[in-house]
Amino acid sequence: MKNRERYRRAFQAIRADNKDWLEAVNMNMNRQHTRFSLSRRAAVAVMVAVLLVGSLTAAYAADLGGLRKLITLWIHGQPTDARVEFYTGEDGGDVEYNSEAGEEGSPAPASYVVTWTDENGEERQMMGGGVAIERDGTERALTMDEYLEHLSSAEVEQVETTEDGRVMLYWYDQAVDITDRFEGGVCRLTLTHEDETLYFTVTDVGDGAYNLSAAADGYAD
Amino acid sequence: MRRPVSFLAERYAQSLYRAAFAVCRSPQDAEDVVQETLLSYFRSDKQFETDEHIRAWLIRVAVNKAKNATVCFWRRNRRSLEDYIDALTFEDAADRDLLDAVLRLPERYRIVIHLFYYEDYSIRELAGLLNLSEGAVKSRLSRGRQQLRRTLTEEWDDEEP
Repeated sequence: MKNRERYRRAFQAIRADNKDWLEAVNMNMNRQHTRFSLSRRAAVAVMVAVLLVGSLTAAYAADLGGLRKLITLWIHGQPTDARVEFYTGEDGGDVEYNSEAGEEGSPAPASYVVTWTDENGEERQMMGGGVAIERDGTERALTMDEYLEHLSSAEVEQVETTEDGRVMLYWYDQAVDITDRFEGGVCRLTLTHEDETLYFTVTDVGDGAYNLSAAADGYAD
Repeated sequence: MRRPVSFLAERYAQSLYRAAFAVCRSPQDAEDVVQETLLSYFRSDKQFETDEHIRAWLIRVAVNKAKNATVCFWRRNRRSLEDYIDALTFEDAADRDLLDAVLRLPERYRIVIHLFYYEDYSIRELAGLLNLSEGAVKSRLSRGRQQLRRTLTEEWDDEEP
């Protein structure tokens, strides 16, 4: 046996434990967490993505701190590193979300801000929030794990405004120009990907921001 | 180009761990090095030309962080190296002797030896990666090999041309 083969075989015995490296990086990132500045947050909301399960209403936060998580976000069909920050406060509240998801008695996040760097090196952000509708019709806050699962999944839908002012709806590899499809500030659109059909309701909320509802059972009211 | 951290972790974490371990000789520090290396990648805005470019960058960062770990003043409680190696499962008994011999080499030889034999880097590539002259890489590789030959005798005598 050659020395190189022998060397490789010997070092194959060394293995890190089966570890969730992404989670480990997340923990490391949160140890070095610093608070968001107000000016930075003020620049947010170029895009608004509202996470909806069934028929939901958005809850936005304007607080300054939050727990950061690193996720793989699917942007236009491409896996991309993104940082998610969660917030508990609403309407100017300043409550920092700083609890692990699922912890007994911990407050649930009310909203999130996702930050990533696009292919041109520009920092992009989107924010959103939502609640879950249980089978009996009651609303409950989404857990951080539910947010993360949704954001990390391949089917994250997005609305973006392009530099020339067009409004684009993205879902999987579909990019639909919906600029001229608004009636009374609302655009309703049905898209199908493989066996899945979603009803998209995009609402112009002003200042270049849009609410996006995506549901399997029909358009949002 | 950029790759997501999850992709890099899946593809390179074990390799980075081995490289870090070869340098710092501590499983706990090696784990920290892998985490910090992936975090450094995430925080960096650097664009890469190829996957190989990313791999080389990750290895360089991991090696540097592992070097720093060896001179860190504060060290947490950790299992002894012997205990750790005793707990490993080797395919052949001689593999343990080889690992032991490599880990006893001086750090400057260990790094070159590991990246040459395990990661298949050429002398020229190592010079670029470690910011050394090719002569320095050759010298370190040669001295590392000599020491391994002395320690392992016939178990380390089939060098590729």
